[in-house]
Amino acid sequence: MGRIGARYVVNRMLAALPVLAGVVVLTFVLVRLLPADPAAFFASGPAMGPEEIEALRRQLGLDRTIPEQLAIYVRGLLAGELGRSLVTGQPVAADLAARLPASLELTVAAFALAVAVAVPLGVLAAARPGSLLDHLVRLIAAAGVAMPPFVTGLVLIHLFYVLAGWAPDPTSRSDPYLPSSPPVTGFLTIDTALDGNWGQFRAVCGRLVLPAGTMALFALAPLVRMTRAAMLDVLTADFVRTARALGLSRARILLVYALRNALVPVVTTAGMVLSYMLGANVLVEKVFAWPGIGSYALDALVASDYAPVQGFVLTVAAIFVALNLGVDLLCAAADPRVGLE
Amino acid sequence: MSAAPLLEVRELSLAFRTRGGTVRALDRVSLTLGPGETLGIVGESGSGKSVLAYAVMGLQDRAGRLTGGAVLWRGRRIDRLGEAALRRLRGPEMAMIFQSPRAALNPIRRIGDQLADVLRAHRPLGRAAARAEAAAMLAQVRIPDPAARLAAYPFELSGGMCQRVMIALALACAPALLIADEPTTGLDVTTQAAIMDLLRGLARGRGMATILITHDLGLAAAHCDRIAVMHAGQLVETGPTAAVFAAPLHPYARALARSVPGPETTLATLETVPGSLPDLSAPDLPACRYAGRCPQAQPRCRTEAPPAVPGAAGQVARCWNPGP
Ligand SMILES: Nc1ncnc2c1ncn2[C@@H]1O[C@H](COP(=O)(O)OP(=O)(O)O)[C@@H](O)[C@H]1O
Ligand SMILES: [Mg+2]
Repeated sequence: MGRIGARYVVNRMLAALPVLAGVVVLTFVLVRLLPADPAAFFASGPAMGPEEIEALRRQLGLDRTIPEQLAIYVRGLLAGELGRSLVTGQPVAADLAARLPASLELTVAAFALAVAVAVPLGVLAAARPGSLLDHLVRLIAAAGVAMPPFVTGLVLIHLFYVLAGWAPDPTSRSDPYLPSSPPVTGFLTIDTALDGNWGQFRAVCGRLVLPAGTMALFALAPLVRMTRAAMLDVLTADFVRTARALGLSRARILLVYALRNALVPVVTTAGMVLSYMLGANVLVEKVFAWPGIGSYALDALVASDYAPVQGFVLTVAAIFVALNLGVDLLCAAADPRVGLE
Repeated sequence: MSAAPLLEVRELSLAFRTRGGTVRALDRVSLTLGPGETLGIVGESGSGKSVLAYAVMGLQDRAGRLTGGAVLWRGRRIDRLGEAALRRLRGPEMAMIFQSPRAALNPIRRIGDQLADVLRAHRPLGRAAARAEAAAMLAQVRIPDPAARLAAYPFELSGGMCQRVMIALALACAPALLIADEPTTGLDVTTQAAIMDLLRGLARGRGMATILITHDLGLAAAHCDRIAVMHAGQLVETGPTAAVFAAPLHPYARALARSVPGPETTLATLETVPGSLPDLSAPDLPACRYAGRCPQAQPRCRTEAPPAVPGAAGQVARCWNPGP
C-alpha cells in the first residue's frame, strides 16, 4: 500500500484548507446580504422600541462593519467556536454536534439503501441489455431525475401515512411512549440495538423508512444509470471476451471481471450522489420533522440566525472535502493504475 | 490419434444484424482440422477470419447469428450448445489468444490471480495448488522469475510478456486446439519470432492442434501444415501450405501469393491485391464475392455458387474459372 500513504492524506487535507476558508468568507458575506435584520427579528416584543433594538444590535456586534464582524468570527473559529444560536441560545458547535448523528443516520441509511438496490439492478440490466429488466431500469433512471426529493417525500407521506396508515407519524425519530436508550453513537438504530431495546429499535427503523426511502429514490437514478453504463462499457472489453474464451463462469465474469473494472466510475458517482444527499437533507428533514442539521439550518435561516447557518455550511463543506478524499482513496484501492499525486 | 477430425466446420454461415442492414460475415465456410495439425487462415483484414474463430468457440457477440451450417467438435455438434456447456469446452478443449495482448488481460487483476481463475474454473484446485500451477505455467512460457511475476499487473509488463501470459492462460487447461488470432500483430519483429517459436514448441510438445489466423502470409507459410484462404466471408481455397503458395488455383489466392514479399521483392515490385472487399451488407452480393475484383470473372460467377475444384497438389478452390 505504498501508493496510498499518510503523507498523501495530509497533503490533501492541507490543500483543502483554502477551500474551507473561501467557504467561510462566502457564506459569511452572503448571509449578511439577506434583506433581514436579526436584531429586529428577535426584538419583536411589544415593549421593544428602536432604542432597545439598537442596543441588541450593538450587543450582537451587528453595528460594526462586515470586515470587522468577519474578523471576530474568524478569531472565534480559530479558537474552535462557531458562535451562538439566537434561537436556541446554545453554542452552534454543541447544537450541530447534537443533531449531526440524526442527519448522518438518515443519509447513511438512504445511501446504503440506494446502493444496495442500484448496483445489482445496474449490473443485471447490463448483463441482459434490451430485456424487460433493462427497460425497467431505464425507466427508473429517467423518472428519478424528474422528482425533487421533497415532492417524493410528501407523496410518500400521503400514500403510506395518510392513506394507507402503514407508516408511523412523520414527526420524530423514535416512539416517545417507549423507553429510550442511552446515547452511545447518536445513531438511534445502533444505540437501541446495543441496549437490546428491540421495541424502540423497531420503532426507530420504522420511522427511518420513509425519509430514507425518499432520499434513496433521489439517489437511485444516477447510481443505477452509471452502474449500467459502466458495466455495458466494460462488458465489451477485450479482457471480458478473454475470460469467456477461457471458460470462466458467468458470475465470475460479471462480478469479478466486469464489476470491479466498472467500480471507479461507480464509486465516483456514489461520492457525488452522497454529497448531493447532504444538501437534499435540508428539505427532506424539514418535510419529516427530522431533528438533523439540515432542518436546524433551515429554521435558523428563516429566523435570520446567522451563526447556525454558517456553521452548517462549514460542516457540510468539511464533509464534502472528506468525502472527495475518501472517493479518491477508494478509486486508488480499486484500480492499481490510478496514481495518487 | 483417431482418424476422426477434431474440428469440422460445415457450410457455416453467419450474419450480424446492424442498423446499416444485415452483414453477411460468413458464407458457407467449411474446413476440417485433425489432432495436432496446424492450419493457417489467411486473407485481408475484414475477410471474416476472426468472426469464424469466434463462431467456432461460440463467442460471437449478440448481434451475430448463425444462419446455416454446423460446427462439430470430435464429431459432436456444438453450434447449438448453451453457454454452460460451451463453458466446459472453453479452456480444457479449445482456447484462444488474441491480438493486442495487453487489452486481452484484465487490467486490474494480478496475472497470478487470472491464471488461478482459469485453473479453478475447470478443476477443483485449492488456492496454494492453483498458485503453484500458475507459476509452473509462467515458467513454461519462459517468463523469467515466474513466482515473483504472479503478483504483477498487466500494465507492469511489456507487450511480448503480456502475450506470453495470454498463452499461459490459454494453455493452462491443456486444450486440444489453440486458436491464435493475429498473435504477433503489434509486437516488434524479434518478439514476434520469439512468440511464434514458443507457440510452435508448445504445440508440438503437447500434440495440440493450432489455428493461426494472420494477414501475414509469410508467417502462415513458415508455421502451418495447411492454409485456408478467406475472402469476404468465403473460404476460396484450402490445401497444403506448399501447394497453396506455389500453385494457387483461385485468382484471389494467386493474387495473395504474388503479394508475399520474397527475397527479391522490393517495395516497388511488391503487389497488393487490386480492388477492395465488397460491402458485406449489400443485398446483391455476387455468388462469388471476388467476382467484382476478379480479372477472370464470368457472368455465372455472380449468379451461381462456384464448385469445389481440386488441384494436383491437394489444394481445393471454389471457382468457376480456376487458374493454372
Ligand atoms: N459485431 C459486428 N457487427 C457487425 N459486423 C461485424 C461485427 N464483427 C465483425 N463484423 C464484420 O465482419 C467482417 C469480418 O470481420 P473480421 O472477422 O473481424 O475480419 P478479419 O478477417 O480481419 O478478422 C467485417 O466486414 C466486419 O465489419
Ligand atoms: Mg481479425
